Amino acid sequence: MSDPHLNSPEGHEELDPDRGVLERVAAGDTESFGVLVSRHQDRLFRLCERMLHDPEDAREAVQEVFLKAFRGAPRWRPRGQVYTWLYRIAVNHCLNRLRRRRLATFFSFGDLAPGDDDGPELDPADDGPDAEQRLRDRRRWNAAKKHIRQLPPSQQAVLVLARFEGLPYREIAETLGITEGAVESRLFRAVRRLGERLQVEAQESRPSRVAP
Amino acid sequence: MNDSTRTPSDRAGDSGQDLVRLLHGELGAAEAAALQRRIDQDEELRRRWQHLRTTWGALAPPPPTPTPEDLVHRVLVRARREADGGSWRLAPTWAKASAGLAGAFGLTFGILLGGMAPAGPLSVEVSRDQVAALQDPAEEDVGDAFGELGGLPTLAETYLLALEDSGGLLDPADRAADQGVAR
Repeated sequence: MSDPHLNSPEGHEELDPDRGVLERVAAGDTESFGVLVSRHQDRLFRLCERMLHDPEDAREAVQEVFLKAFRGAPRWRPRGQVYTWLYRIAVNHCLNRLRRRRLATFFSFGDLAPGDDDGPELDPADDGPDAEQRLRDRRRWNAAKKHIRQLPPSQQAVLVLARFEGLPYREIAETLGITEGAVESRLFRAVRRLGERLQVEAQESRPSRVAP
Repeated sequence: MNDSTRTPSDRAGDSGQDLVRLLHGELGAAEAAALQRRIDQDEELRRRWQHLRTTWGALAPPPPTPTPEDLVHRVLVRARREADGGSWRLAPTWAKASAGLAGAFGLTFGILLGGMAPAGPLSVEVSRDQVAALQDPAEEDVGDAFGELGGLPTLAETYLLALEDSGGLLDPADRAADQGVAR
């Protein structure tokens, strides 16, 4: 899994086409910044959406993330892939947003903050032949999402990067600034905990049989 | 530890992590094949494997919302605006800190001078930039995910962070892992 080439700075330079682009951004080249945004907008928007569970919030968050990268470019040190650095900014930004959201909930005495509802189960235009399957998928996802939100933020971040972004342990560790062992144990505990909760929920929702 | 001397609990702990590695595709071909053979032979391990696989499958997210079409444009407009008019935000931290300190010093000096001066109308102005230099939100978040939290947190944020530090929001086992429980 680990590529020794990636561990050397020279390897990063050869294999990471973003490095030169970021260096130009650091020198104040906004056109190069446009290149960086175009390359990474999809993955960063998806990451923000999956961490914040709200597309509207993610739209705002991803812009802030890119602007932070723009401001932080002169301070970037080539210690890894550029996109793991972008992921790190995005994860930190989303965690701070989630903290503020909890703060808002705390001060509103438990009212749901934006993005904390599950949204419509079926889009109005969603009436094609696969609509039923999509409805089932959405219900399953809403159930999973509810439990994911209850995980400690540190486990949520690892889960999102591993399960949803498909990052290998090494890159998750790089993004979050933790060891691969910590990634492994957090992911295991997150999956185990979610499995227990989903199992309990499935048992509770199973219709009890009435004796004839 | 010899596999035959390990307790079921030992085996459950690390084999669970191995199973998640297998799910995530972290194991090499030889390791994956060996673990798959163990799964085929061990009924308890097979049961746990199926449970983890079901959970992993239940966590498959729906297709993401399409990225907003004008995202690049919006970000670039804001970046250009900052680069053109807001060069202060791009200034190095030491420059902002120095300016902030100079502002604070000037303010203090002015107040002291005002106290000594004869009574009369006096106005002291501190620029917005000087105040902003003391807390720059641009410095936030470009640090470790669970370590540095840039900027100055509000009292309420400090409360939440303290709660997180005391274990209310951060799993104690995560803290142990962070403190060096590496493989």
